[in-house]
Amino acid sequence: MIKPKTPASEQELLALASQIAGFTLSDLAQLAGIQVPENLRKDKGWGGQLIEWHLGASAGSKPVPDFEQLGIELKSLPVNRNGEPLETTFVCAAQLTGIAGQTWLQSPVYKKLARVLWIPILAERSIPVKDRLVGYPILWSPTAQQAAALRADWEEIMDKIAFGEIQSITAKTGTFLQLRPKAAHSRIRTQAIGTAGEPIAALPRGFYLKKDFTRLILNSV
Amino acid sequence: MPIKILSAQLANQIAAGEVVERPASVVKELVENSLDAGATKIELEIEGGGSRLIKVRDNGVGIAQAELALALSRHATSKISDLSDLDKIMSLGFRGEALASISSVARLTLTSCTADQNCAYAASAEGREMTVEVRAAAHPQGTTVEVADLFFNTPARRRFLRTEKTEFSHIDEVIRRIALSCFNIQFRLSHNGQLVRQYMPASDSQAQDKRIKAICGAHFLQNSLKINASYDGLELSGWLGSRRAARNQADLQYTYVNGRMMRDKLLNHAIRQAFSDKLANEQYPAFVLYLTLDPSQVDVNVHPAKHEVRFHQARMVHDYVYRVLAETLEQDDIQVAAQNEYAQPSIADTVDMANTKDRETSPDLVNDQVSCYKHPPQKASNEYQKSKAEQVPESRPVHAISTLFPGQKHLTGVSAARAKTGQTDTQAQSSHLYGQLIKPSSVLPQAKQTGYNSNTASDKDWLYLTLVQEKWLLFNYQGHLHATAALPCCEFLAKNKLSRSLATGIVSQPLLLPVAISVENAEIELLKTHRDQFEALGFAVKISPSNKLVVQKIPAVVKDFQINSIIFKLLRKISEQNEQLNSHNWLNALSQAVAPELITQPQHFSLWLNDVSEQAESQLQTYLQQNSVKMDLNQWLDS
Repeated sequence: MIKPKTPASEQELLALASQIAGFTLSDLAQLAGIQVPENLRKDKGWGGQLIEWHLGASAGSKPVPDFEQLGIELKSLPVNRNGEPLETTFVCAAQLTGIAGQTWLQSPVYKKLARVLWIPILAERSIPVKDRLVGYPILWSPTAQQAAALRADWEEIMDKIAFGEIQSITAKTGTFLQLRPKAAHSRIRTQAIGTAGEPIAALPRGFYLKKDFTRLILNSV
Repeated sequence: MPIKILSAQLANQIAAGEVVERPASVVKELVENSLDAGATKIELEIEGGGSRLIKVRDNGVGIAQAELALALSRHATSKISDLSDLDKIMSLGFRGEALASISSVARLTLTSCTADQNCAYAASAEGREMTVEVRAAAHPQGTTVEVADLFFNTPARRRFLRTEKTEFSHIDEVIRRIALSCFNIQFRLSHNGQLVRQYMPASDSQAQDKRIKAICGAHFLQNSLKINASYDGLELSGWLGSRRAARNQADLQYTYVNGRMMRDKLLNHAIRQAFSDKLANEQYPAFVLYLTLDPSQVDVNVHPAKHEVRFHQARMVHDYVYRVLAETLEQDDIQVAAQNEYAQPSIADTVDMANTKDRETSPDLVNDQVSCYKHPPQKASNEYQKSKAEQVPESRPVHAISTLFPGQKHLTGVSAARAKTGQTDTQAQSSHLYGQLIKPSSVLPQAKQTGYNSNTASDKDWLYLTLVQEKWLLFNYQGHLHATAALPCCEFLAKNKLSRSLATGIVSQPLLLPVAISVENAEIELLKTHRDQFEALGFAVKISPSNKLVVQKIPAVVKDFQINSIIFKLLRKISEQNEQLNSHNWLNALSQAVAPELITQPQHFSLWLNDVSEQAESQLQTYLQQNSVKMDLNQWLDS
């Protein structure tokens, strides 16, 4: 099978995604002509990349939507047998400087989540990688309520970053959106703003959606 | 100790604990009163560092005789009258506490005369109940407040006072701060009979620079950048000391919000952030900055001394201040770099000149040459600098302001915001509809489930009682027990409900986690030939590369059942009667596949029975009448 062309419309993308719903990762690997790794410890993004391949995604890991032309972000979402999310979902890296004047509508979080194609993957730890099942795609935009809730969390977190209180942000800050360290290891540092406004070095952070939020999305289907 | 009302004096003394910390705080309250009274000239006489005497005289509107007594009582003010005023405060004070508080911890005399009064009156309050005594006095228009013997009756506070010199330096600082907030007002400050400071009214920018120089020093003035920016109701102006004006203490930091002096953490944070790494560790920026915004956007009722405020849009204000200042500092760096660049050639020129000087013998010629070498480039570079200096601050801020918050219009422009939310609303709506379409039926109100049972039993009604051993269904009909075979009854129910669902257009629901089923090759062939019929029933079925059957969508009515077993049974039925399958047969096959599911899931049986009895009551009755056996219990019980 040759790699599908980048879809030209939402319908085409959704059709491609529905095509592979119910297939296992080994099915997808076979179609793409590649080997399934024993475990994903060394290739964390393998499953996601495989799905991207089947959907004709172009952007890779660039900070633009996976389907840039369509403005759609692709997110694979590990779930258990009952369709419950297994982990929080990474949204994007948090900018700790250069955020002056940024509004919700300009924020990467908003842009990333404006339109998302969620692909659930049945990925319980006990299930071997090859037998993991691709779920039915959900093309989603936040409802007014969801957007308002995300915005409230985002504003609370951004206020803290802007006012130099980044060290006081914990994973418990925010109802649906949380800020957590996002780095290969804990010695990595990036520039941030200190309590007095002075430049400081801090651990890079990323925005994550809590499970409660992705559960809402899954339950809407 | 029994509970009792505090005396007016004690209540005021407690309030004074917050507001009156030291002589300088008295001075601040009194001078702010003078400013609120519209004074243009304020004179202060201090004795003994302010603990012996603080005398503030102004030429403001004055207080009428009748209001003098009120002026000294607590919670009395002319500055606001109702709660809505609190949202848009432009006066410096509003709490109506200062004079009462001060007069409870010092000997206070208030002397005042208004424009239309013939003579002035003096008032003072004394005793536990703070009774006010008013008497005639001599005074021009305006008000004088004399505060003598501060903390005479609160020795604990008195012990906190420092030396005369220290306390006076605090007063001096307060006056400096206030003088920076109102350039058009004249201040005279004297200590122990000696004039210490005099700030003349400054209406033009030259005179303002002069006041800045007097208060902040010449070094600051020379190395400061003039700020003047506004955007969307926010206005920031003043003097920002460049990195060359940075200080070793945080002692030259003056911020004002709507003319009120502030020590606001948020603003200081924004200012420090603007300097980023331009300052070393132990260096502090110097600045005199004025932020003006709609008073309804800021809450000043946070701190009794009003050192802090709350901005409604805190991060917007913070980021605006940061952006304006960072931009200005950036321009300054560019300008300084440009100056250095142009300074270089002129140094080269001097070297050249030196060489020439060495070589040339005639001093006159040298002088001529020097002058002709020296002047043109100097002039050129000066002009360049000048034009740059003019260009940069003038052209850049405009640009800076227009791009400051490129997206903020979306936020503040109501129409834009509406348009945006409108869009998301429709999106939300569509996804909501989608959600509604495929809501699990188990969320139906509980009452409906039992509705069939609890219906007022008329003679016609078949009341469902129970399922026996998954084989028999028991009903109560006309007072008699009736039994019917479970599986055929469930098939009837399934067929009835499914046919209605097919007639109205079957809703096909995607499975979040599609079901993959291992099947025989023959069955795969079967599926391939009958794909259309499967789809007509609401199933979306695919064959995976590993030859499994993948069920992606199912009819919404059967979503609570075991999909695997329904598909298996469906396939078996179809293969049994492979020839001449019409839509009727397909419906029968599906009903037969679903029926066992109803038996194993009693709660869904109830729901389906309920539904059929509501939608097709007579058909159900006919079916039960024809297919049930009456069980005459009396016969058994009697014998």
